[in-house]
Amino acid sequence: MSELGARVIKIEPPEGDRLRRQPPNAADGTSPTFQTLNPNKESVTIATNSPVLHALIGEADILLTDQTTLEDRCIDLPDKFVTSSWPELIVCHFSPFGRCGTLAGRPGGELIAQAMGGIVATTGHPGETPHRAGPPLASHNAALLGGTAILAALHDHAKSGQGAIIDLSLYDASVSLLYTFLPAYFLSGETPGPMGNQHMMVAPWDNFPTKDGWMIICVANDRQCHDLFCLMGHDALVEDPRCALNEARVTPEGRTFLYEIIVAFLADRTTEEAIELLREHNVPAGPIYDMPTLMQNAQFQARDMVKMFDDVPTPGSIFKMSETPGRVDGGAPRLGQREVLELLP
Amino acid sequence: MSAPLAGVRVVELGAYTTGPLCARYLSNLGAEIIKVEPLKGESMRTFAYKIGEVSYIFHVHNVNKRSVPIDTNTKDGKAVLFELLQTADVLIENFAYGSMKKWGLDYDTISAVNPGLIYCSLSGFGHSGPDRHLRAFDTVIQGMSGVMAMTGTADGPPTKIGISAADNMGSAAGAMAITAALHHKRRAGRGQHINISMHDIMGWLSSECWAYLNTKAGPQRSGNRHPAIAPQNLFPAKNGLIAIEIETQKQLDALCKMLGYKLVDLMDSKAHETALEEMIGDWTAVRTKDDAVESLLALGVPAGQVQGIDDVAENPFSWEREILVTLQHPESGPVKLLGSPFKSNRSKGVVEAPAPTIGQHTRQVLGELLGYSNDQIDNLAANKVIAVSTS
Repeated sequence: MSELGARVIKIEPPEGDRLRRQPPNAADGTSPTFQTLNPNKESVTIATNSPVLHALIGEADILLTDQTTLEDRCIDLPDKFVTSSWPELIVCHFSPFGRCGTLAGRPGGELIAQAMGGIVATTGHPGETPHRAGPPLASHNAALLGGTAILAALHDHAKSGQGAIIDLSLYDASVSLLYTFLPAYFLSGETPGPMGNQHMMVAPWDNFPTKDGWMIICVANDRQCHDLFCLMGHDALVEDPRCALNEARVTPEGRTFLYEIIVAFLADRTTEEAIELLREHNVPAGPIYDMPTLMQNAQFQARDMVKMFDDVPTPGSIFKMSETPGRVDGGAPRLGQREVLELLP
Repeated sequence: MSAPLAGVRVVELGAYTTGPLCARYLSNLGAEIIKVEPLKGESMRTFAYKIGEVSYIFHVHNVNKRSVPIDTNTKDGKAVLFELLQTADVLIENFAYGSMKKWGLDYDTISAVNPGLIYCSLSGFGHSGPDRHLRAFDTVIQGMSGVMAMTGTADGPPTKIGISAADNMGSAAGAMAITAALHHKRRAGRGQHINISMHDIMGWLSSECWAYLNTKAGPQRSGNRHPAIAPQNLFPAKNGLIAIEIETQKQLDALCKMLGYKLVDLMDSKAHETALEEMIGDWTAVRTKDDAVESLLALGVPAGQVQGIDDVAENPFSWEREILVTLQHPESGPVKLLGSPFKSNRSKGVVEAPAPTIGQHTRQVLGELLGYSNDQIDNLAANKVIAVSTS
């Protein structure tokens, strides 16, 4: 919201948001974890259930909350009270399971949302313990969907003058992502599990070891695959029944057969050499960047996606817009940088 | 009950996931979507796992929409599209960078016709930067954004997120940017060009671990563990896996008391990770998933079952919550689909019409919005400029 121009006031408990103290490098009370999540904002501290909190909400267009924080601080904002006190206010409550249904109110964060929401069960390698998406996928998807819902409610408010209370759950945000896995269950009764880096419907599609690291090859159709065979010097494979057509390549035998051929081809080539060669022949391929490489990546830099505030790398704005470009122009606030009274009329 | 984007008209020129899903999100919020597809139908219709003759994924991404097939490569087709765009608030497209320009449908050309139009381009790497010409494949983008490097275990290979994370997140970011642009349009009377990059979004997604760039080891993938807080992991119960996720001091204290472990500071909890995990593992091993989760929840410790696709699909909560819904399809009967993630006290999200057949709404849209007569429409269809559903 702040990237899009909203003025965001972060209400913190007197001891500060707990992320401020989360390792690493949290010694000075404002950790880089906190900083990457809170650029552009102002901070005020308010003790639990202070009447000032209500006064401040009364001045706002939008109120964002999350269940864990509200419970931690014993703040209760019943809907009836909200709609009667601030009929024009747009509220977005983020929570793991939403505010209705049998699981409403259950605690949880990113891992629980991914576990219950089917992300864990579909990530990882066949036959091994599955694992979460490393980055906080459920929270970030919920954040974007919540932002969309809030802005839609503001659009409605401009016409109707009415507020709204939005109920955005991490569970919904996770399940919304499962559409590539649901058809197998609903239409064939199969329960698809993790496929590693492979694709359920096409092959070869995987990460492969090279001379100096890893690379990804994603062959989407027969033509691309035949181009791959030829550039590897295996022209005969184009006619080989074991791999000429995708339907043969997606069988377990087809997958193993081609994996070995590709690994042998990449053994004496660097990732960079191999990618250049594959892209020249229009075979989709790419490197696997670690974080330091991403920070230096020319594309990411050209899009202004890394901002530095106090030597802490912070993401730039994802909203590239011609008239109202997303802004990330100030670092995270010091705790209680603003006085509440300054913010009230 | 009123959907917040009622009255907003969106033209979708999309294929596969990112554009169509972005438009579907806006439809869940009440926007009217006109899907302009090729005469033979959008490519996603042909994917595997079909309901009737159309792929399941197409059904998911295209609820609530009206289908108007137009061959935009013809002069007359382009004229019809431009007339439609003059009535629209938003255009969504997700073609490879440069395609729209090649077809004479770039932002400058279209905004000259309708300066109020919000034109949203969703692509793999955006419309600027040295990699903008690269094709967008979800796995390639997960690899190039650091997401794969951060997913998996330390001793295993970099691993992709199972679902198509880049496609999905691009759709949601596009929807948020478009709703913001609607405000600007209301105030300033002008549209604008939005260019969303899936690579930007996935890099942003990985930014939680940028905090580790200034540490000795740097950011590391760590399976199901959290890099700073413990315990957070999966534990085997008698009949499957459960997740336990400590986030606050209060939750950690409750867990330690239950296990009979000394109380420790949350910010120092990683030092106790192995010991705590061992005790939890012994505790879960003799319980069923449901018993373990219930006991932990009763103490205020966040826990949940690791649900497979079957569990998600069969859990009554998914249906109570209406994130899974059943929609009647005129030919295929009841179809189980994804619902709307947008719920408020004023609208529970719009999921009302199943995905359209090819050209199902050509007559309705061109007749009602543009005033075309049936003869005009028949002529355009006979000349293969547009397609009209015969069913």
